[in-house]
Amino acid sequence: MEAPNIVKMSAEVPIEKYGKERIAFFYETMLKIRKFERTVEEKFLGGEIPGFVHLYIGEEAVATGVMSNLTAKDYIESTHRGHGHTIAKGADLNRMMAEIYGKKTGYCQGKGGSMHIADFSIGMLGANGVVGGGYNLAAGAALAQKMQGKKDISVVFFGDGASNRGTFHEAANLASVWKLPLLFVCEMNEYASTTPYRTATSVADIARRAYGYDMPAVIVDGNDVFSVYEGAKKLVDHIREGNGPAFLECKTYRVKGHFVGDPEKYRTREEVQKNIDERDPIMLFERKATQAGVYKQDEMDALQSKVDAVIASALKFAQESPEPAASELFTDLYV
Amino acid sequence: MKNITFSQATLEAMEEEMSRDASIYVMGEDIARQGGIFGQFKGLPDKFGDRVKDTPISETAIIGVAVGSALAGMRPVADMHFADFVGVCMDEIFNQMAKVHYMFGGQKTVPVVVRAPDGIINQAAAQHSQCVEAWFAHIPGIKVVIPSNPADAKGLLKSAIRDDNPVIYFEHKGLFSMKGDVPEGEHLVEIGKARVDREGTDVTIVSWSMMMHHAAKAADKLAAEGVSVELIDLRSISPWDKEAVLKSVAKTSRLCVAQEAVKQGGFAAEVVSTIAEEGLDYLDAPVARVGAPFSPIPFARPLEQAYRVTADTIYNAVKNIL
Amino acid sequence: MATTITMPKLGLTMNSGSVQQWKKKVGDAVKKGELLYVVATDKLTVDVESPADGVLLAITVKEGEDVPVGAPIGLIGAQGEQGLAPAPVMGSANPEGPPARPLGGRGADSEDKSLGDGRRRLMGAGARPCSPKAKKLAREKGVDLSALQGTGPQGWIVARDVLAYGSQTVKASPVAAKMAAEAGIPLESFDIDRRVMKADVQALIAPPRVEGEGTRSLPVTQMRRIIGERMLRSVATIPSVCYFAEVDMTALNGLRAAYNERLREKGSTVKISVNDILMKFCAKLLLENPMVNASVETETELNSAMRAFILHDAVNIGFAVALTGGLLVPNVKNVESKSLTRIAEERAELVEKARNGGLAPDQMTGGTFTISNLGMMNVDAFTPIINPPEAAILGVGTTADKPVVKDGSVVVRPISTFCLSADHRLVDGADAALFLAQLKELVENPDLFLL
Repeated sequence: MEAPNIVKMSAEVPIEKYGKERIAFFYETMLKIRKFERTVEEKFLGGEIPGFVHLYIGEEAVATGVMSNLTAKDYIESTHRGHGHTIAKGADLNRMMAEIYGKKTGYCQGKGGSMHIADFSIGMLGANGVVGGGYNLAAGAALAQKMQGKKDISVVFFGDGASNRGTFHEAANLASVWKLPLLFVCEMNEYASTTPYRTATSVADIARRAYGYDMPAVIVDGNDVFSVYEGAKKLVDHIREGNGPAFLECKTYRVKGHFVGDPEKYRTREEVQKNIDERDPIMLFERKATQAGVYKQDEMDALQSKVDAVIASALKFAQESPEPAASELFTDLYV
Repeated sequence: MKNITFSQATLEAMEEEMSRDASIYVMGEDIARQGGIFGQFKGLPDKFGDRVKDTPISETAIIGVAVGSALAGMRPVADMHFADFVGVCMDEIFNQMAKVHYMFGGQKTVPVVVRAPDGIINQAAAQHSQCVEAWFAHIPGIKVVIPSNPADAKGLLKSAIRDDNPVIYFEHKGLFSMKGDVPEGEHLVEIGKARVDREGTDVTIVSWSMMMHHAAKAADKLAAEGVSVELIDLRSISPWDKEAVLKSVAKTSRLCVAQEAVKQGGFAAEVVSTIAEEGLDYLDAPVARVGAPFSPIPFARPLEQAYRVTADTIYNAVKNIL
Repeated sequence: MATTITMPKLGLTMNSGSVQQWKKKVGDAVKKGELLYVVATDKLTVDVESPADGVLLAITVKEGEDVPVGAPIGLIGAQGEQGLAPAPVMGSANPEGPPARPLGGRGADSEDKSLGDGRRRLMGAGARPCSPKAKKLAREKGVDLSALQGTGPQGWIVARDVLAYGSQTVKASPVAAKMAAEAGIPLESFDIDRRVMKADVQALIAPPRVEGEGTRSLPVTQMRRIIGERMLRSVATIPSVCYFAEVDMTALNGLRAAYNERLREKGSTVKISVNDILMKFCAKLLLENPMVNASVETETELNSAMRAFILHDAVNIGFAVALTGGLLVPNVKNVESKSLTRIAEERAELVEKARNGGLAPDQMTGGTFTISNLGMMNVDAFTPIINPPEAAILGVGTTADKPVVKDGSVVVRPISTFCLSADHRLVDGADAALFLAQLKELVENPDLFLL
């Protein structure tokens, strides 16, 4: 049974029709996310980074494809797995890495850490440590945009697990009745923490839930940045025209455990490896780009080196930055 | 000065503030068409149109949207209908609203006011009668105000709306129809500042909200017996004016703290422990802590009567420490 | 067993003092009777000897720090013995008593190991609860809490108990205090070792009659209390001497009769009394003898150390008005500058007011000299008590015909015996004698007044 509001999309535009700039954005953004997170993973395992770290590796195409439709004036609400969204929205890698290191120079001056990074200057309203905590905040931001007469929109990212929170349903209903400029982006990555998708969720496609709130939905291959971009574009345009909220479901796969150090007892190594081998978003992009001839190998190599340098510099910045003084405990508690 | 009800005083504050600042809006259940179930929003939509919003029965969404819109430049006032329902959206209050400013390193302020009508009125039973202010005094990052009279109701609501921090504004349902003199126009009450309701020398009674009126009756009765009561209205419980209480207890050497909420784990305990920590030597008698019994609020009249804290409860508690 | 050294009470009025200098250091051996420290009070410094043999284990006050009498200042004991227990308070009531123990605790955790036979006795089982404020006050004032009776809630020892013990002031319930104040009964007059309650005041306002033994109890009225206090203070603090003189009243009586006759003719209702004329005469002499029209300024009302003599320019002369159950002493102000008729008028007015209870407070204060005349009561002579802070008082006895020797022959004359009681601190015998002689001369030769 198919819900009548759902469109399943894949990119139909020939790659060569995308401008060089957008192609570069796709590749560079995904590379930045991947390399940034590889570094974070390494430094976490090496004991340099404290706290919790949740990695986005394997899901880079979602953030990249969606964000490619947004401007700095559009808002996003992110999740505990938020590095990818933050990077794709254009955050400064030095300040991100410093925050993950708990340094004074970080985005939140060391008060937040990996799970709580925000950059309000680029419309990144914050990652959220509470699963499903972002929907209503995003709805609020969308309400503000509507009340302020702006054409900008808000986007909330969430996983399949979070779609079972009551907050989704309150936000979806409210956004729909108030026709808020809000895009719901579901990253269906198969696991809610350690719980496989179908053991905890009632529907085959989460997008079907959008039907209950009278909003259009699109399902795309979340590992294909072009598909994500196209799906998001269709919905973002719809929202910008003042038609109220919409729902984008991106089918992707969480290559890493729920958190760094997750023993991953709930799945097999083979399953993970199969996804890496066959569906890795960067591999898929590179294959398509080279096949279409929009990227040459040496160009890609140069970009890789450029990103490596940026990440290395961010790491150095974080490592060398000072920690906040204990006296800053109460700073920013109250205005 | 105008003699108006508590409810009208809050309405006046809303009107004045919404006229002053277009980024202020108010939302909640039954507030635009109905005017609020206690009439506290009556007429506002006529003046401010879409800035007064009826919401779905979605407390979680109300607070979440308030926080999100504040991050995007608005100054929302969110009505909780009944303070009892705050539990529905507790995550939005204590994990989102209270944390955003601090956790993101002060990048954005969260100027949200949550209005929460609380307290016992004629047999509203277990889920529509509670005083839950103490829960919020336990949460760093939000302020909690709790006026006892129309003048403070206006002054504190205006201050709460102007405050860049999230503020929870408890308004006792039993006070809405109470009349009092209220200054017209600009009248702000500083958050965190207690009010000495009457000066005295023999015993300090600290209270807030509706319980202030029971405490005042108890103080009258004690005065007739030659006992001079200093009565302090905290007005804000986070931050709270501990200096005012310490100063008073230094003078009277006796302390009674009276609250409507259940005694166990209540805010009175915070006041009492602070005095024990910082003013023990002032005390010339055990402290008296008055609060409701540790029970849900029952429906039947005799049960509710047995539950309620009254002027006599306070009077007897004070007599025990004289 | 360690001995606590406490601030000694070195005189009746000493409430606190400071150790000016310790003559030993902590750890030094001391012998009983050996000079241990020097105490300074506001008046003097005193060398104090060690109260025990042993080692100075602790010094708990800084040199120069003012502490109340009885407060612990140090500890003497055997080498290695424990220092001061937490905030011990040595009771002045119990200076050589049991070892200091923590205050106010229920005592379950403190034990007396001094029994020495392996038994352990829990200490302080009967210790009463005590308010933190009372504990602090007791510590500051050096009051032994075990000597106190708690009057607070649930029998707590509260601040008022410590204060009452410290100052001997009586504490009363608010209602009792109000009733007592309205009835003019000082709380100090209640001799009960607990808080004065409403019933106690009521009992005194309507005292129970004690019949059968021929005695009755009467309440002390405010007037009697004041008379008592003032007279007691006078005899207790003023070294007075009485000087007598027999005075021939012939001329004065003649003068008085003539004046009154004249006033009557003029239709005046004023009647000049002997006392009025004596006032006028005394006023003249008091200005000439300023030390008799003076006061002594002391450190305090109770501390009689003299600070200054205060000489008064005005002469305000008091006189006693007898009333049922007591007397009042109003005074005529500026007698020196008033005419005799004016003095008589004012005196009559004051008498009237005294009897009607209409005297203003300032009409009873500010006097510089008093004349007490018991002539009407047929008293030959008496020694009046000085009305503080005045320097002297003149007592006038009855005028009676007596044989006196005049120009070598015995004649009968109206004679009155004057007695001048004078404060020897201001007025020596010769001065008093001169004043009295001048007065006698004036009374016997009134025309000298104009000289």
